[in-house]
Amino acid sequence: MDQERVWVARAIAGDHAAFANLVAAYQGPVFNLAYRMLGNGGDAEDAAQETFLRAYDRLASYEPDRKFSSWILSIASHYCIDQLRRRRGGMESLDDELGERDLPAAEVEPEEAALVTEQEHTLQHALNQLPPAYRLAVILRYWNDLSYEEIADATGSSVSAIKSRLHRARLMLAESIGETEAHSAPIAQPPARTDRQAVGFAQKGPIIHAVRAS
Amino acid sequence: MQCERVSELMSLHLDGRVSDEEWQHVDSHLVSCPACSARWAAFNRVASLFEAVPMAQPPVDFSARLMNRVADRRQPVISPWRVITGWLVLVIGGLALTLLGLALTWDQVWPWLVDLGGDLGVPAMSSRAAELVMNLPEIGAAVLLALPLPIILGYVLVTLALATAWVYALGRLHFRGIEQAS
Repeated sequence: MDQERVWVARAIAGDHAAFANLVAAYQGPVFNLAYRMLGNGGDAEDAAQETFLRAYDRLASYEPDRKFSSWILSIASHYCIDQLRRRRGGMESLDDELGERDLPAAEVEPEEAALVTEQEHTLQHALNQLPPAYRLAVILRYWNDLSYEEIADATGSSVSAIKSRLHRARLMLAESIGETEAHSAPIAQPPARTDRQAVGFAQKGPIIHAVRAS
Repeated sequence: MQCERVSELMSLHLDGRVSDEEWQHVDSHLVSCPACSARWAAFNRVASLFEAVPMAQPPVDFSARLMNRVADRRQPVISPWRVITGWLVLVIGGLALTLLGLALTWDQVWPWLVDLGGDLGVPAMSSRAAELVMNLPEIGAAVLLALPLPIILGYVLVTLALATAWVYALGRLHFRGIEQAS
């Protein structure tokens, strides 16, 4: 933390090596956030580069009391939400609570597709179905291990909004992952029942049992 | 317990935000409610999937490419307005505090100044002028006392606020100076 303050101060004074230290420390989390939000490596790299350039330009306005990680992830979050809004033609916002599901699917390039594990593919596919604000909340929660308060800070939302987004995101992810795994399940299994539970999402028997057993 | 509430608590529990006591209620509900129990399993499936998938890593030349672009950029600058307002507050605050200090100690300071002037051979300080200047605080006090109380109080508050802003601004400038020097 103190080390970071020194790096920031030196970077403001024009020390590029100090800024490179900050990049080395945060390129992983920032790139992952961009990749999970945007769904493909090319856009993710552009977004991560742009995030750090913006951070560099705004270093002088960085408040030293704030955690640098929250600050840089907040810049990345806003940039990614902005990119998604552009893709959609100006409909989405960070505070968008509507459950839109028809986001453009991530274009996964063939060479990347060969590398990703099946689990990663399943998860990324499910993430792509979420409204951006929900996707952002679960990414920051799971991969960046941020608390509700830190997520609220990074996204400019309230803690209660984050609580509700994480809950709904989990409901949607559970449903989406359940469907994916049911489709990829062996044909020998009985067809998934069409009756939806009153609680709101389809249960696919085999998956549930698989989880219980694990 | 209602299933919708149970669902919210399950999500909170995965983030470590439910007390043991409250979770016991959820637990006993899960035993008797197959729908919630299935949902709980599905939530855990989601969580374990996140755990299984590592962070996506940037390309190896990410940092090098970024630093090339940084090198082409001009140095970040503190906005000129921040600098101007900072100095303005500093100067006004400094003047106000000096005047306040002088007003409180005028009785002692002025004769000393006259003596000093005499010693240095400054001829301008005639006794009439000296008398007038000597009486300035009294004139000021008379004017102040003639004003209604709310105005005087307001004045005091404004002075205090300015002095606080001044100390704050001084602290920040000082802090930045240290950060840049280190």
